[in-house]
Amino acid sequence: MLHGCLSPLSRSLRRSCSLSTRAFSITQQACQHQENSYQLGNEDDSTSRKEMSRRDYRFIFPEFLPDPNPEWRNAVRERLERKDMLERREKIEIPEFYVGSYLAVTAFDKNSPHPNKMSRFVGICIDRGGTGLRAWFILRNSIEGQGVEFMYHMYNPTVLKIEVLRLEQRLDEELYYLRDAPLEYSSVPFDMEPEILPEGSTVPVNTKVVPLNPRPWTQNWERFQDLLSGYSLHNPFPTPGKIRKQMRWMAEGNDGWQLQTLKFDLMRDYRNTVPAEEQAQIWEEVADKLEARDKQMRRVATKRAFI
Amino acid sequence: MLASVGGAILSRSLICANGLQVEIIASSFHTASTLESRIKWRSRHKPFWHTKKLSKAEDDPLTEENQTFIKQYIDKKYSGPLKEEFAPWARGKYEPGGVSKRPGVLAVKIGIQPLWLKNGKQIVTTMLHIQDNHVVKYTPRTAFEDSYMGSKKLIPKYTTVKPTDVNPNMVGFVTVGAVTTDPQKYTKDYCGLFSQCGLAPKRYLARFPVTENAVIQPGTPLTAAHFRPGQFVDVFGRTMERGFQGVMKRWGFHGMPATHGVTKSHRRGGTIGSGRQMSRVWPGKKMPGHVGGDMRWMRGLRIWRINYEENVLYVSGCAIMGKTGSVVQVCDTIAKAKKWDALTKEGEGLVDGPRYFPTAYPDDQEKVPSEEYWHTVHNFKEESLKL
Repeated sequence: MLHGCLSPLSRSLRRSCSLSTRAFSITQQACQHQENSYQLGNEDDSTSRKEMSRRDYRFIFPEFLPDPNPEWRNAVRERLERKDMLERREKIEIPEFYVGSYLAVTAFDKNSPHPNKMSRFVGICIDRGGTGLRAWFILRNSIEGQGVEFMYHMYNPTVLKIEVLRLEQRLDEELYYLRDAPLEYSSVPFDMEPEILPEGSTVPVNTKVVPLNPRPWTQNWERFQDLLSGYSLHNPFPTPGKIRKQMRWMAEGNDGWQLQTLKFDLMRDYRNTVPAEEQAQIWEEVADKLEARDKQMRRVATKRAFI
Repeated sequence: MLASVGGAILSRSLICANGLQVEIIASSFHTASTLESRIKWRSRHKPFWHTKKLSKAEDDPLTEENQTFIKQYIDKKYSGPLKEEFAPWARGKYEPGGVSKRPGVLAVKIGIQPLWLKNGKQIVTTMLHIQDNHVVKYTPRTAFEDSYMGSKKLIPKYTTVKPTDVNPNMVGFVTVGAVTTDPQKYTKDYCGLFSQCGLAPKRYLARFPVTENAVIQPGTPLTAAHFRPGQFVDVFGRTMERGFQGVMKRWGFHGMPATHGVTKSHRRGGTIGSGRQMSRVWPGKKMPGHVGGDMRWMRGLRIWRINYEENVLYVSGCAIMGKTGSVVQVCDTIAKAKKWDALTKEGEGLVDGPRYFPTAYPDDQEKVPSEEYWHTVHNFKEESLKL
């Protein structure tokens, strides 16, 4: 799988750059989200609030923004792809979720033992990515003491249902370190009921810090401490002196060499983001339909609640 | 025989196979000869009879009034109904059995998108945008045979062997142009190529050999309705430039180990000789060199979906030659198992051949829907797949 080939370091660096172009970190982003987020369900129609809030659709519907690489950009293709995405969204509810949310996905599985050939997987979202119809997310859970991950494509027509059981954010945008953490931190009960947040509330940030297992790890997590803040390392277990030295350096609050340079690399940020004017054009094109669909889903949900 | 003044070759007179002497005025050639040109690769050198395309910018800038006047003149010249001096040409009928070959189109590769089949399988499709295509010119074969290149082809290579690469069914060439541009950028000679159709000059041109029943009148627009979902096409274009590459990328050599004492030879070709008897390197020995930038055919690609409104074809595969934005030629396939004559499976609707032959004319366009999928492809407007 492609996500496994890229090192988390390079990807998290790319993420942090895109974060820096949003001009705030993930924790501040949550506060920003509180101040001027659309907050699906809010029926306020004032134009200025709408314009301000549509800017935040880049967090709720990130797959609608195209890959910023100018070599692959084409207006006609992007428009047709967005049209297909909206048509698919009319058939299935693809809810708002973030990395760290608990999701349940019902999809067709030809190897399923059930007669209807469907399987339901529940897990914590450890990563999401892809643009357009190739948007994907990874769910992680533990089954009988074994960590299991599933990658789903959001616009795949064999995906029948996507439910958000718990909508929340974490301190990081990718949680691959859960692979090196005790399994209890990746466990989500399969019979979990959806936790519905009150209307108009903000998306909570779970500031849980996950303690990692003793070495060996899948990645060199001691090097990522400046980029990812959702895990902690235990000191009293055998570590080579070279790595302990690095850990001490990080613990003193120093940045790794890459982050030191990336802070100043504005062109890299520019290359990795879609300009705000183009984003506004995209939201102008799709936001009405998305909002209408959201209202429709809410009406359906409230009807169900009354039955 | 060359007439030259001060080193610049002005005209060239030739004797064609039919004995006529032809003067070709070389005033607007790209380059008069390979010796004088600055193009490094001989294969990239355009033939001398190609019309020069782009004109040099004038030294004196135009005033605003003159600019607007020129724009008005251009609009007046190229707008309005097309040339109606001649009666509309007859529309041919499709005949199976390999005697119908119609022109293709020029399409721009705009990107890659996944589609899903009704059995749940995901396929990758390339989107080809048929942008502003018109038939520019029709050249009957006699006109080609009278020309310099045509007469060269007719010359038999050996005294007893006849020229065999002439298919008697092909009566001529249809030239298709794509992407209308500003005539001010182009030379008068290039704009003159479009006089037969009366259209503004096109940026890209391609030529397709056709049979008699597939001749299309110049000026006819070509759209995505030229094709139908489920059919197979051939795509012809220039591959991506990869520059000077080593043997591993160019020829697929395996290189040598990274360790175990290998000295400075991890990606090299190794030995190039065969032995004392040979005492030389074979001609054509695989060595590093230029990779990419070649014209290639991709045969037998299926069209899964067509958006007639936007003129976009969804063609199978992700490796259509060229980068996003490059132009390719798309035409009916000649692959034996996938050409029109081979599609005899009942119930799929392809037995009858192309839906509109030789192409969808403007009065056919009204009947065309906005979008059409091949029946095995999942339409996003439909419900989820429950297989």
